[in-house]
Amino acid sequence: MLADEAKTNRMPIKVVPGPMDQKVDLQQSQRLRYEAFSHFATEVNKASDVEAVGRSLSTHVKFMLDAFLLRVAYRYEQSYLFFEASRGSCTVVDREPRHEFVVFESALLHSGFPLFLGSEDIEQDPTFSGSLFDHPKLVSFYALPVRISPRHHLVISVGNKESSRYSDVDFRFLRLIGEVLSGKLSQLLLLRRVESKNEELEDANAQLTRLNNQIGELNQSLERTVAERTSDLRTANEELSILFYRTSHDFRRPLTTIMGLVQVAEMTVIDEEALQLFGNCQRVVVEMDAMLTKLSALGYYQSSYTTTRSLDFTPILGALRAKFAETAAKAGIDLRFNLYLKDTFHSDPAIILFILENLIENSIQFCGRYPYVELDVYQENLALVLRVADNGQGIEANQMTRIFEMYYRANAYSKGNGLGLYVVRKLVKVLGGEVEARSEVGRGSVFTVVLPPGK
Amino acid sequence: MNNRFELIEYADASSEVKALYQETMQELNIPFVLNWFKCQGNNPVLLRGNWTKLRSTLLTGQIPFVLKQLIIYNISSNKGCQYCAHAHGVMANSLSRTLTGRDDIKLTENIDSDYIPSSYKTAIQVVTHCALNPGSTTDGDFDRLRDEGYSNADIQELMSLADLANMLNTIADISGIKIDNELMETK
Repeated sequence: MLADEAKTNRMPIKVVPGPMDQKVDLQQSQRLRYEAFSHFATEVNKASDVEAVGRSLSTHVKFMLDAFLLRVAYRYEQSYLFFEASRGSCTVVDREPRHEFVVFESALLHSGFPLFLGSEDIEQDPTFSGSLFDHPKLVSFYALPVRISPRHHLVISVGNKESSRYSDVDFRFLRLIGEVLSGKLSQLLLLRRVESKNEELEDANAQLTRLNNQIGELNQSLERTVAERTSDLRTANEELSILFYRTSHDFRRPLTTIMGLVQVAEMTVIDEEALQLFGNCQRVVVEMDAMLTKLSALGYYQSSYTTTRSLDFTPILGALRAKFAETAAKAGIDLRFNLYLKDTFHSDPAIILFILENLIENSIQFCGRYPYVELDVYQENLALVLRVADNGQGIEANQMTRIFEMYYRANAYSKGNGLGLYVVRKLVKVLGGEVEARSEVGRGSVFTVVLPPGK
Repeated sequence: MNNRFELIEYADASSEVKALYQETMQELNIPFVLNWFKCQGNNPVLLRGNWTKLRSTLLTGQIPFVLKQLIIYNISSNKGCQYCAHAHGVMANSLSRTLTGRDDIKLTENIDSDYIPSSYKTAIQVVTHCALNPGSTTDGDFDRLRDEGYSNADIQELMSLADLANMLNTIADISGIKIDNELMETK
């Protein structure tokens, strides 16, 4: 070998004969190659992309192996990489047309055995046509399949210009190179996948952000629309309440006049028949007045109409007694008012009076034997509680959910107009409180109003 | 006593030259100043320039250091520069000891081994040829190196050794410096 090279290159390597035997020679050369492999492995480990791996391959492989041409076909799951190094440079591609050489590599991988071919084999084998190894200087070829797992493997192929320049040591280095490459390339491909996923996530995130912004804009538009509509409704409601309140008042004025005239007629008319007609007329007018009184109270829905002040229950209870004492006495109803308050509460006394009037009126209507109506005013924690209880006929359980509805009468014999409890619930709400009813047929009903302490 | 260029010993050197001597020892990893540097110690400008060239060519790059030492050894041997052949042979062989763990193995005596990659041998042959006969360098020389897998950058790095070796040999031969005692002991 050396003699041939010396002839062709004119300038021989100056050799000083030494006591080296083949074994030492081999050992020494392997150290040199391991040194080169160490540099290769270090550089590959530092590589941040497959191109850097390719550069390391072309830089260092020549110090480990005689490799005129070198190809590495690498597969990790569905990803492929092909490295082709020659004359100091390396190309890397991740897709390759499925030519004969790829089929050859697959077959080699399937067999699991390394392969050596001489120049005659290469010339006769169409596999090499059009591949990296289709080169006039090529006289020998060897390849090694390295299988890490069924879907993770590579094939390293080496072409040389000399016929016998390969050995077991070469295959050992090929395997080492293959192991370093497979470790690093799988890592880089995984990183590539992670980056790709990250990009997908970023895209999805950007899309979500865009959609979110659109939703935000729609929400804002919707809120504006809702606010505008609410404002319109509020205005309409206020106008309606004012109309409602004033109309109720306006109706009550002629009714009062009619009642006055009826009273005058009762005093001046002697005709019994006419008096009876006037009496009927007065009853109807009184009922109508009661209904209008309730309706006008609904004008209080407008919170601007409420007047919050420190509550004094003495005049409220006095007014209630004045209103219901006679009716209660006539019906034999025991009317009891109990005041247990220690603290001062703040609310609208007119509304509270109206609420209590309606509740007591309701209880009086449905009294039973040994009737009583009892009002308790007390405090529970921080809340003001108004409790009206009676021992009347009670309300059927299946009616309880509807008793606060407008114009609803739980009892066919009710003399009321179906507005009392409806108005009570509305007004309790205006004051920020809650009303609750419990009842048992034949034993009576209890209405409890819980109001916030105010201020 | 050298009667051509005066050898400036470390103790007698100017502070500037001392600093350069320090650099040579640190970067070549030897505990003494080579006579090759000492013979330039009276001219710090030349010394700095030549040391910078040596350092840039020999101590940096992608080509293995041991291959560079073998190339300079081979050129110097062929040119008959005893000083450089000895000095770079010693350095290459000291590396071979590091690589093999044995004192009796000398790379300089075995660079023809079939087990050493042909890239080493081809580089030694081509660069030696170009150093001895620069005018006869052909594209074929470059092709031989490329066929071994050397890139253009590698080849430039290799060829610069032809230039370096000639400079090293020229200075050593003209100055007539003797092989350093320390290197003789090593041998």
